[in-house]
Amino acid sequence: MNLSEVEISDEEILNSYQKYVGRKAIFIVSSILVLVLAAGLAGSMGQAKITIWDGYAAFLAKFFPNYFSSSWLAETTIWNLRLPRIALGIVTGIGLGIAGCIMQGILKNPLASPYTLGISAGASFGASLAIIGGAGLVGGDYLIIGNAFVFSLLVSLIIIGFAARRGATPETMVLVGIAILYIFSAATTLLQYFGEETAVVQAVFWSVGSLDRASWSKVFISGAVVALSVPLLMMKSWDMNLLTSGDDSARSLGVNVNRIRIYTMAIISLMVSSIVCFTGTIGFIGLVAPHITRLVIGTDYRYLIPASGIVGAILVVGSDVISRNVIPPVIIPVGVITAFMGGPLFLYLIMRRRMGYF
Amino acid sequence: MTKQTNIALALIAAVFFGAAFSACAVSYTLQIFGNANMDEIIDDADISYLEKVIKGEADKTKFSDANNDGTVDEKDIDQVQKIIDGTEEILVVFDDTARSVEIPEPVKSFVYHGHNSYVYETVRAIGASDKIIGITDRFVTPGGNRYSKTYFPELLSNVESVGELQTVNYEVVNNLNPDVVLTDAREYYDHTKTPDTPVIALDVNITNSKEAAMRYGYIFGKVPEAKEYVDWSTEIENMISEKIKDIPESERPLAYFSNYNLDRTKFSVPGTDSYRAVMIKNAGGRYMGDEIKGTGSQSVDAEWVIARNPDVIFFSAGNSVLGYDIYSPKNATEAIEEFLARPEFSNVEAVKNKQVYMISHPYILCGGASGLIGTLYYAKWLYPDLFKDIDVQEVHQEFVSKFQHLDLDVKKCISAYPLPE
Repeated sequence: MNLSEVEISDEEILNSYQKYVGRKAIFIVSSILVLVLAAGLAGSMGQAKITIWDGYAAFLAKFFPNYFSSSWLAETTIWNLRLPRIALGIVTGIGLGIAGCIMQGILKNPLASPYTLGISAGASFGASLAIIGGAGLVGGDYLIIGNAFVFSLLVSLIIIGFAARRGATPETMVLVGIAILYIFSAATTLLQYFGEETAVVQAVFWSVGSLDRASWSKVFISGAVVALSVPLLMMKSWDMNLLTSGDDSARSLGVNVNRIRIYTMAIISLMVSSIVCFTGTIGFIGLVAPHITRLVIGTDYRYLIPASGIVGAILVVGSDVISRNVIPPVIIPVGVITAFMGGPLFLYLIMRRRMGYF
Repeated sequence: MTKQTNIALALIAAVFFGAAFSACAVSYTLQIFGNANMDEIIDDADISYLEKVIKGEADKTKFSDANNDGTVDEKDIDQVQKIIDGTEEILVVFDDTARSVEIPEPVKSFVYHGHNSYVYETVRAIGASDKIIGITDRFVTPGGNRYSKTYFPELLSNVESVGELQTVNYEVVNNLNPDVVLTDAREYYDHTKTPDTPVIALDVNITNSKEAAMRYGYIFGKVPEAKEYVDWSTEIENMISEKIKDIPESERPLAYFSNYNLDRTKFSVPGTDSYRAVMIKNAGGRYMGDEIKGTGSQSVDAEWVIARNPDVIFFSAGNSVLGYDIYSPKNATEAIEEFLARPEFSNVEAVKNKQVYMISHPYILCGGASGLIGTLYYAKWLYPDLFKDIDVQEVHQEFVSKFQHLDLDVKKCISAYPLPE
């Protein structure tokens, strides 16, 4: 065979790369469009006696008061009830999706997520301590939120602490995370065992993730933390790509593997804590959104990170539409729907796609 | 003498003693702005007190600022006069969350974000239940914790569900646009989601039921009706306490209370400050759960019960065993017989003497409004001789017919079992 026959021209390489990038860009752009549609659907559906047009008029009247007018009911429904839910759903989905994506990458474990590493268990313990024991590090109205935040962060700090001392290997971090998950779950169970019935019900309810507590102030706080965290994580996407070829290869290419694990874990912890302290445990998003995305666009973290976030947001907002409209006026906690919806979807994708994609 | 005459005489005696008791002390403070002298009612005495405050002859109190504008002046006297006349345009109520809630008067409609049924029972007792337009799902969906075709028939037509207790559908509440939302589960109601509707967190429980009834009386413009209901409750309460007052503590039966279903090996015992403990103590029993602090419950095992050897055992049971919709004692009999036959309890006094009773738990005879009737059942079980002149079912029927306005025969329903003799 003549060597020149297998030579690939620069133009072909460029075309091939553009195609590679184009596919991913198309996925991201279409995901954004789906998210906009899901948000539009979430904004249009509900039990308030307003038409879809009333809803959109109330939305637009805020920006163009001279051109659109709305009723009290439409304005309250859209601006006070539906939009904060949608916005918190988007922030939650983005945060949890990205957190899961990076955790699975740095820990080289397809089961890694904020839930499986005990961060949510820490938040649940903190909330239970506030609700059942009335004790916390922050007082007043922020007792539950503050406790959930502090304890979820504490879990991450323990994992990071162990990683710093014993070497930030994926095995160490996963095993410590699982140990912490069991310890905090047991502590929560103990609190609930001795708690008052109504307080226990409230604590259990808190731990089932929900967007019912959404408000603009919560959206701004979580949103700001997520908005600051995502670029800091994106900056490490090249290093994450190198990590996929193994710790030794990454090291040989100049990546400080331990530092990258601790750095990303610290940012993820802050981001996840700022979400779960408001929503409770919305399971499955951190696990399933990165897998769905990875199955479609592969493991290039430059695209995988933002796409996982968008897919996570679609899952949360879509689940919320179902949770509010499946048996009205009852609202099923969104955490239940995400698990019901995400599980079978995940199984379907695994069946349809190639094995060993991770 | 007929049973009705007996009960009438007992109640007259109770009124006499009750009056003597009430002359001694004010038992509660009505938590409404305008109750300047901090007693049980808003009347001319409050106007006199306010005049003294304005002149500097008396101290300003928590509820002196009747119109809640930050100053105590002539306008507050006008507001109190309007409250007395029933012509006020706003009423400022102090609620369980320590908020001063301004309510536009008169209240023509309300939504009840209800956990238990006591608030609604109280509102129905004072004749304001026709104003309800929305309620939590548990009251109106079959299988719900508070669903009862017999006890809450009116809720099953024309009253809209506003979703679950923990996940209120605020869009429905805003659709209904009630004059006020009443909640007894404030931790689950976010009042910022219904920004233009006043939300009052005001639970009714075994210790505040009279004050709460009066507060609801003012909220709904039903003060005479609330007073009549409170007087009726006070009469029964005084009658019970008068009958048991001379029994020394050491001679009072040791009463054990727990939830129970068939085949239970663990028992959940309410703490010393729980409403169950209060009811049993008010009925003249020594409460076995006194060593458990607080209002919560604690799980105990059979050994804990056997070691303490109670004289009387009360079990509470759910909707499938007892209640206004249950007409057969089959499930209750089965549960009690199963318990009596358990060998580990055979030496317990209550079991030896067959002093084991069952009472409905989920929404009747256990808390605020009908808790007093529950207390009377306990008293009659604990002291059958002392209360032999009282027909507890007659009193129960009076509560249901006169104050709950229901065409319901309590003798046909199994809400407590076996009935006191």
